[in-house]
Amino acid sequence: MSEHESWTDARLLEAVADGDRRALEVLYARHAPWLVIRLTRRCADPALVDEALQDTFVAVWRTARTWKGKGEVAAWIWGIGIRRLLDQLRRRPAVPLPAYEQVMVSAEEQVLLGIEYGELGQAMGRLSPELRAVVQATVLDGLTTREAGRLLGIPAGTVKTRMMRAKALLREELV
Amino acid sequence: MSTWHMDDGLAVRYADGELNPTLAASVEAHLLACDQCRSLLAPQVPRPRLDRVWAEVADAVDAPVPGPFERLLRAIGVHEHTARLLGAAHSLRLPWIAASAVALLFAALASGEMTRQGLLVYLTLAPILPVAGVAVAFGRDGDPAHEIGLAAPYSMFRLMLIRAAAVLTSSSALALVTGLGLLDHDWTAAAWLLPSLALTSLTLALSSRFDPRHCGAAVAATWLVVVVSVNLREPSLAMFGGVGQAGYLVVTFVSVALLFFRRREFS
Amino acid sequence: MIEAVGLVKAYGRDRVLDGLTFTVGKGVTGLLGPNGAGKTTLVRMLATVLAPDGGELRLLGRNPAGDLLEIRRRLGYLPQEPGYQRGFTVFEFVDYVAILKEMVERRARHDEVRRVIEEVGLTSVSGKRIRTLSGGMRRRLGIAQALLGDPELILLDEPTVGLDAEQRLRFRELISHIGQDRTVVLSTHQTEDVSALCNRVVVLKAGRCAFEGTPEQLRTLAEGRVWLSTEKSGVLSWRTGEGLFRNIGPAPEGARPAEPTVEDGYLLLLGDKATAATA
Repeated sequence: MSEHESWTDARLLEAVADGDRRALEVLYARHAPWLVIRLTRRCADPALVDEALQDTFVAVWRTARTWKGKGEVAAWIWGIGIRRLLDQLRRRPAVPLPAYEQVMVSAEEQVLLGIEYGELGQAMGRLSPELRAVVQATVLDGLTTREAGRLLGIPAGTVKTRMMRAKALLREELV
Repeated sequence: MSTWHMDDGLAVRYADGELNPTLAASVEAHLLACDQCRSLLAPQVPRPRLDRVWAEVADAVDAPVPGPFERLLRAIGVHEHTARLLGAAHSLRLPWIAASAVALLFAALASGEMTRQGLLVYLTLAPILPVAGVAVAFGRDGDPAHEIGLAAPYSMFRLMLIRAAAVLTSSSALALVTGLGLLDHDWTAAAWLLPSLALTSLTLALSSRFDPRHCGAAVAATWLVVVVSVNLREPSLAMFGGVGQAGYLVVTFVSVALLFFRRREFS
Repeated sequence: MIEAVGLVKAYGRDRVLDGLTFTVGKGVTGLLGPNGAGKTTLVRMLATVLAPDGGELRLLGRNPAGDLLEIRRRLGYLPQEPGYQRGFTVFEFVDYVAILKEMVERRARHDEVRRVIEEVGLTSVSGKRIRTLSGGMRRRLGIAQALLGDPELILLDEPTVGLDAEQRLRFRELISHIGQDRTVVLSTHQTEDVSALCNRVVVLKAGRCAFEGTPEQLRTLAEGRVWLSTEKSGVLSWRTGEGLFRNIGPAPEGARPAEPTVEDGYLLLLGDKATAATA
């Protein structure tokens, strides 16, 4: 029907900034699936995830202008998505976050991880679940200390101290 | 960034939440930069779920943002679709409303000295504004999509009344605000209300037969002639006294009745 | 779908429609006629905007004098010069018309608005103000509103005027797509539109029906009456690209016959009028 499918994410986002509704539709088709899955790992309630997903793409439509044109569009969308999820969580009573509670790394996965992350990944694997959750929320999800605290249901101060401990442990492992 | 990519099996396990946190974290970092692997995940989310959320996104993005006038109407319990029509009519008439605001302001300022003439000017002008607004609100001038509306099942009579109501309320509110703000009078600040209703409904009733613009002009001209001839020798507010007001009420009732009986003429 | 018998419409002494009789069924029907033949008057009458002064009209099996609302609910209409609230967005405008088409429930209405905007390929610009649209896009917007509520009868008055070649092509695709399972009546003075789109054609001449049938039948009217010659002859004669004259009517001397087109048939019909007028 349209040529939009062949456009890059960056071009689509520029078109969205210019009010192109079709471009938003194509961006949604590309990015909604992985975003749903990744958000589901942070929050098990599908209703909240759907709300966050909806808010995210409405925000993409309204704020596409503010994208600087640098870096991955996916990363920009993730930044909006995780914060919209936080907004949803804030409105509801605290829910447990099972995604951050698991441990165990199989040997095979370690190999895969080695390719991707090398020693850092292995070192991460040896952290306690609490410390790893903090590293994940701040380093990988790109949240601030306050936001990470909200996501994990702990005070910001605790996030800070856990992060310091995690850093110290990682340094020991890697050096 | 790397030659490593997910395969279908890994995508399924990641989507099902079966990967351990560290591996999942590396997958997520990779996903941000790899559209190929992102697209592997698309089949892992049920299509209806994505469509349902998209429908919500699309509607939030498309739905016209109601202006303050429309929000006010919704707040006092007007149906969404009627509020939309009213809001649309209102936005079409914005230039007219601005013009009448200026006209009223001048009239009110002129009467600022509380002379009889000044007040008379204000009371004469205020009822004419909605007449002008209503006259302009119909036909091609008022609604560019008039012809499309004619072939639609929506009652043109109803649409006309809705628009007249929009014009009438906004101009009345305007007149009231200027009246109360600039004239510290008791009843006189609102003495134009019934004349304004009478003139507007008369214009509407006549419009069932003639061109609305001509009707508006004729009604306004007649009103001016009457006011001037009555007050030529000595300006007085007699026309706005008790008897006068009763007369306007009668004119209003007769016009509304006429309008009702001739309502089929509008479609 | 449409049955008209002896339709009359007069403005003062001017009889715009003068005993017009024709029928229209499913598919795309072209109302062909020169300017002033009464096409717009007829389309407005079919759209229930104008009542006939005389004759009988049945739309969708009903009498417009009695079942006005029922007909309007199943009708889509694009006027010749559709006005737009230029400050509205595309979505806002179609939504406005949808309310006039009695679509009350907000969400269902919005879904329908999205559907018709998608059908005419305007989704990209659905949030844009109408004043920023090109002429071709505005024409498609006009068609979008005519598609609201999936009407059985769609009336388009001169929908191809002012479109460039590419827009015209897109437009034809759209109309033939729409006309697959509906009744579409489009008025035009271009025979290209008729040969490209219509399975039926009604030729209007001075307020009467001069021809009713398929475009192929219109074409065969000129069978054996089109000639190429080196000399100009007769009333209907013009120079073609190859330097020869194309003549419609009796064979000039030394002429060779040519394959007629729909346009030839149409000109022959109109030409009779031209000859009658000059005689």
